[in-house]
Amino acid sequence: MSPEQCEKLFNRLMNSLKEYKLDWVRDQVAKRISQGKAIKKSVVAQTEWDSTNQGPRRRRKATFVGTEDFGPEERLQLVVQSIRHAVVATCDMQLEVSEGLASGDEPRVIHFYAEDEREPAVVVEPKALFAKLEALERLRKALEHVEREIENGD
Amino acid sequence: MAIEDDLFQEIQTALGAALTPNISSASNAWDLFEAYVLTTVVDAARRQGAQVTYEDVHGNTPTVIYFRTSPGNLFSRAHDYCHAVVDFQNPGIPPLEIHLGVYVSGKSGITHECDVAVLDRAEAQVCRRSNVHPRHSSVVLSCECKFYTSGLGVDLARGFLGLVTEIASTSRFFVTNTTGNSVEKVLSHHGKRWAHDVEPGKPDVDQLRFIIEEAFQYYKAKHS
Repeated sequence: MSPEQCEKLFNRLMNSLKEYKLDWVRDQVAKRISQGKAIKKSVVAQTEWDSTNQGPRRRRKATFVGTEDFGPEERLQLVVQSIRHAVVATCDMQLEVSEGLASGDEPRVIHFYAEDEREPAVVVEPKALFAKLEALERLRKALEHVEREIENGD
Repeated sequence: MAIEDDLFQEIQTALGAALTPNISSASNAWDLFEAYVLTTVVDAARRQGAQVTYEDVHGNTPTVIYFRTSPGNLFSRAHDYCHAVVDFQNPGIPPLEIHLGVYVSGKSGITHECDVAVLDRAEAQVCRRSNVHPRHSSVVLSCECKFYTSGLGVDLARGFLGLVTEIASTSRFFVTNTTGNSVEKVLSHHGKRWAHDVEPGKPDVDQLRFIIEEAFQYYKAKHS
């Protein structure tokens, strides 16, 4: 995919996150992009000040840390990874938690409660998760497909 | 249709069908990740020969497991919060408890949250009876859990360094589902232990399980 195609897909996926009420994922992607990526740069640095000549006496190359913007391919990669973490991995985790805390062979139902709430904030229900497995597999493959296309370039 | 349109359709369709409505915020994902790490700790204890059972704050065996969403008091009876009981089936080795999101009193006497805490069971029983927080010296192992979808900020490493100063021990782990070069650099520089990419199906989960097993091994050896 070309940088323009990556940019277009990135924007559409960011809109999808909003549409599916995954604003928390979208916010994290946006924050990460605004922070940029750290890079190491070798630059000529002034090492001593010559007061007689009012200028640098010696110049030497040194490594500095800088920040660069993410490119279109990297931004697309970031949103793809974020969907994988937020949707695919959390579903896998729910399955592993309910199986890991199983009573005998029966996966366990798990409720997460805040101290001052009467209703659970999260309910992990194994039966509801099993119904999602096929769609999850399709999503996993679709995300991998995007990553292959990014890798292949133009 | 252009390739980016095909790819978008593929993801859009699958995403709608795959979403689980219970994970609708970052805090829901954090709670789940802590429970996932707790499950890994339970698994490590079993691999070290322990029998692991579950009980609630009243000492009853639960059918449904209740966990906290935010840090709380180990002795809280607001809900029937549950913990795991770890018994190495050796009378010389004191049993342990594994808790999610409880306060522990640090060296300064101030309380701090431990996302996953493995505690001396006798201390935990005293805490439940007397409505007090476990002391830092009773924490055998703890994990600070961070779930993020796109990288980690270095502030998380600073927070962890502060926590291990207060609740000092070699078995304090910074555990995350993602990676963060700056976080890993800071923690490694200060000799702190961390595990990244901890998600189902990734080899780093085995690495986490291994270092936790090692902590249990030391605990058993100390009391054998």
